[in-house]
Amino acid sequence: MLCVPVIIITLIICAGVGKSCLLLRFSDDSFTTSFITTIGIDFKIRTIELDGKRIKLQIWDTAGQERFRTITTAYYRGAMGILLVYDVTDESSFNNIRNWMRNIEQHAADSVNRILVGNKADMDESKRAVPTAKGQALADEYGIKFFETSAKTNFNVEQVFFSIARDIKQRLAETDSKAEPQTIKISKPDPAKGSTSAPEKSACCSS
Amino acid sequence: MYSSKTRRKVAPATANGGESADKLDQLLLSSAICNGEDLGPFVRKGFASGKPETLLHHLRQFSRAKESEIEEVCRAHYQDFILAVDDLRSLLSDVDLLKSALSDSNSKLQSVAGPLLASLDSYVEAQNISKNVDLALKSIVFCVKLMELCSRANYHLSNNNFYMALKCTDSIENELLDKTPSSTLKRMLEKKIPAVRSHIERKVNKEFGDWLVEIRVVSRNLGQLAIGQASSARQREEDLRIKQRQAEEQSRLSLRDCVYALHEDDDEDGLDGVESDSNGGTGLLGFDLTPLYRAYHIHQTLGVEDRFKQYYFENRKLQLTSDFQVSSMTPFLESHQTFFAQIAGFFIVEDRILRTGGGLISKIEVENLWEAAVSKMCSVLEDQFSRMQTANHLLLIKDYVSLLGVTLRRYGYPVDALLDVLSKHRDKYHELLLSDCRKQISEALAADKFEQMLMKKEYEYSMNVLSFQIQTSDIVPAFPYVAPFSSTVPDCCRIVRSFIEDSVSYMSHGGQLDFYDVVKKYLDRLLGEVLDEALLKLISTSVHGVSPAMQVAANMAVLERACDFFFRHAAQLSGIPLRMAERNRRQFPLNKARDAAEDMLSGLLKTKVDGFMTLIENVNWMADEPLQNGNEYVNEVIIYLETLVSTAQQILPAQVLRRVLQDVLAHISEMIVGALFGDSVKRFNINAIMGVDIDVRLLESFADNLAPLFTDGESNQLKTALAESRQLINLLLSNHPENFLNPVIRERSFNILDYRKVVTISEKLRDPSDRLFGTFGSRGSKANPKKKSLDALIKRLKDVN
Repeated sequence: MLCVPVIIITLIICAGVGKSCLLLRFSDDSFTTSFITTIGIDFKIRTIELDGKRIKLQIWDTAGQERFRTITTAYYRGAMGILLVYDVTDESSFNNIRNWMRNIEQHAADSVNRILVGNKADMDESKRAVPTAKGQALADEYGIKFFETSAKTNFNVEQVFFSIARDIKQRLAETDSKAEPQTIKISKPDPAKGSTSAPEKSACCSS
Repeated sequence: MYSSKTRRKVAPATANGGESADKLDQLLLSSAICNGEDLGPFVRKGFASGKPETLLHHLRQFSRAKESEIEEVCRAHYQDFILAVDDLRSLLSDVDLLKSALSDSNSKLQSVAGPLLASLDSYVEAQNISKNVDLALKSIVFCVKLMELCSRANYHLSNNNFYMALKCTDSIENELLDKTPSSTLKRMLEKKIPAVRSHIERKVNKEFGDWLVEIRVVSRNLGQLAIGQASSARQREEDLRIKQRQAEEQSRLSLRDCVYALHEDDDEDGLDGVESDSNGGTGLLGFDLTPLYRAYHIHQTLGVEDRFKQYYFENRKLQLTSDFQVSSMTPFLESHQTFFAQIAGFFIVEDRILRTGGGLISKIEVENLWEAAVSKMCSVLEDQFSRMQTANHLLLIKDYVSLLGVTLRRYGYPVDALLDVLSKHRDKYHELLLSDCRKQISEALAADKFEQMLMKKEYEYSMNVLSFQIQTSDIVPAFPYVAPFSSTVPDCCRIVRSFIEDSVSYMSHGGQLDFYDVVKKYLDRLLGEVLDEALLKLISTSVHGVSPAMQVAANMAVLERACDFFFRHAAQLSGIPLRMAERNRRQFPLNKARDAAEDMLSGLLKTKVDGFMTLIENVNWMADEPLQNGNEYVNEVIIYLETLVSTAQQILPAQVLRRVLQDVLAHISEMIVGALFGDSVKRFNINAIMGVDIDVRLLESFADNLAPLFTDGESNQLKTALAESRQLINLLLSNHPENFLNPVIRERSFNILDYRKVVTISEKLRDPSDRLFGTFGSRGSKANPKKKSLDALIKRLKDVN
């Protein structure tokens, strides 16, 4: 069976920052509506072409509501990349980013790629509550990339997803090349055993 | 002529009368002639009698008679005749006159009547024409009516107003066709009417076909929308429940009020949902049944209602069957929403058609379709679930299916079978969760550095301590704060809490109302099997020093509090009152690990203590004078224990500390007794025993000094750890060791001592005391009775043996 590599991205968005727009802008789902299920998760798919390779992005969208503040580890654990989205016109959503960051540090794998995103950048400057510099500063503090987007005008949306996808792809390629010699070493002493017990199952075939 | 004849006929009788035969014959003959009779017999008689002359004579006579008669008549009528001729002559001229008059008038008439006749002819002709025209007019009016209907039918046809068109053709057929005067028209109509009907049928079927195609897309969106609405309704409900719970916990509102409020809102939610489903759905998505109903109506009008019903049902069934196809190319995780939304939409549409379609589809047919759909969905779920390896994928799909259940139950479809599949797979789900947790926990434990956790900020404290309710005091400490546990504890707590939340997420909305027991069962497994075993493994493999062991033991105590929190948290999330959850609390699920941790700690401490206890070799067992400050070993041990306690009491709860210390003290006591009992000490004197007495007393006072940490009972228990050595020393120092034999005294004061040990140890004291006695005569009188008593004791004990 042909397998398209899957990249899992978790979208963490503080309440009311136009997340559905951002997600809908990017997903190639046939549905026009988006809703967060009762377990606080929405799920969308987008297949992209990255450096000549088809890659499927599984995007798990989390609810920004207070009730879902504690996202269970299950959703962080699978994530290869996390987008933290705030609303540039809402300072509290920006302040919340730190809380989410702590949550991520506690639950997600250390290596997970993160990107900070300030959405609604199309809004009038008079309504802006978080200056770009402030967002950039926070991103620098965490050592992560920073984007300002507008789901409404489709500004930078693609770039954000492509950027994180590219980072993840690169990271996975690096770890793969590191891991490879090891697996060969392990399988050498007992080739029969090695071939039968190979657990190298691609993530996308598992479901 | 005939006038003469009549005269002759009448004549004979009068001419004769009583004459002779001859006369008679003559008479007969003249009458016969007069009468025009056949004279043959007279001729034959004349010739037969031979007298033709008579006959001839008679005839001549008759002729003469007649001639004279004629002469007379002529003479008589001569004048008249002339007059008559004259009359005739005038008559003839009159006639001529008349004749010419007649001819005149005739020609006059002819000339007058000629034109009249012509106009009569033309009148008659005109009348005929008029009749024809009349007839023609009638026909034309009829045809016009017909044509009007035809053109109306055409108009309706061109406007796609098929029902009206059909009505027109029907009325043409029923009312006008037979009467139509034009055979051309009739032939045309006879040909066209069926053509029109089949055209309409084709057209309507095409529209219906388009509708069928369109309704699939609509169904999918409709299903998605309806499920989305069910989801947001459920979220509102959930929010409400949370608010209510908060209100219940905080306010004094009676429970009844709250329940009432909840119900009221629930009902509103339900109505809202349904209303907006049908209205919003129609408006937003163009969920339009008009083409279907039009097609149905047209087919009804065409009289092929049943055929259409069947056609409809077959097509929808085919659609449903193709909706059942699950692509093997895309993972089910990605396609499940489309799959279920499509089916949900299908049945929402079907429900509407059942309610408003006027018998287009029967209830039983819809039920059969639904049954097929349910069993298909169940088998798809079974198949897909069995292949899933990720718990959250299972959860996501389960959530969607349960929302589908809620949505379609609202439309009256039974969904129990679906919910059964979900609950059947809860084991699988929890197995996946458990194995995830096992991995996470072992990772978390492997990263344990056995160091007290440092928290610099308040938020860290609230995330790592308060959120698991593992704080020992409600006062927020000063920061930086050094916690008594290592970072593994909050890590594990987070994992367990996630497990609980994931478990509750799966169990809720699955049709089972009271699922706390299930959640609790799996939580027990997580704690008892996964966490406990992982901790046991950690303790047995990674703990190599006193301080890691102490940290683990301290962690265990914190985890004990955390476990209370876990069950409370599970109960709360399951909507069970806390008191009910606390009613059937069981023992600490991690007790194996806790015991192992404490055993490990006390074991390590004992090893450490054993090191100091080797100094017991340096004790002078034949000391000349009793030591005042205890032996070296005990001082070392106590110094060690004191430093240990000073650090331990910061992290170990008093109970644990007490248990460990008790174990260690008991070990020390055992070591002391063991030293006296063992082969390395052959004999000792009373001074040495007095020294050991001080040792034990020092240990006892060490234990006493810890009393503020413990409750009275606990500190007493701690002291009992030293009981064996204390009782032995008391016995050896006693003036009446024989009292050991008194059951009452023995039970009260020497209950722990083993008499065999007592024998061996007492014997070691005997020999040197003899020598002592010789050296210090002044004590002889004192020692003597004691020695006697001791001897008696030894003898009696040996006897018993």
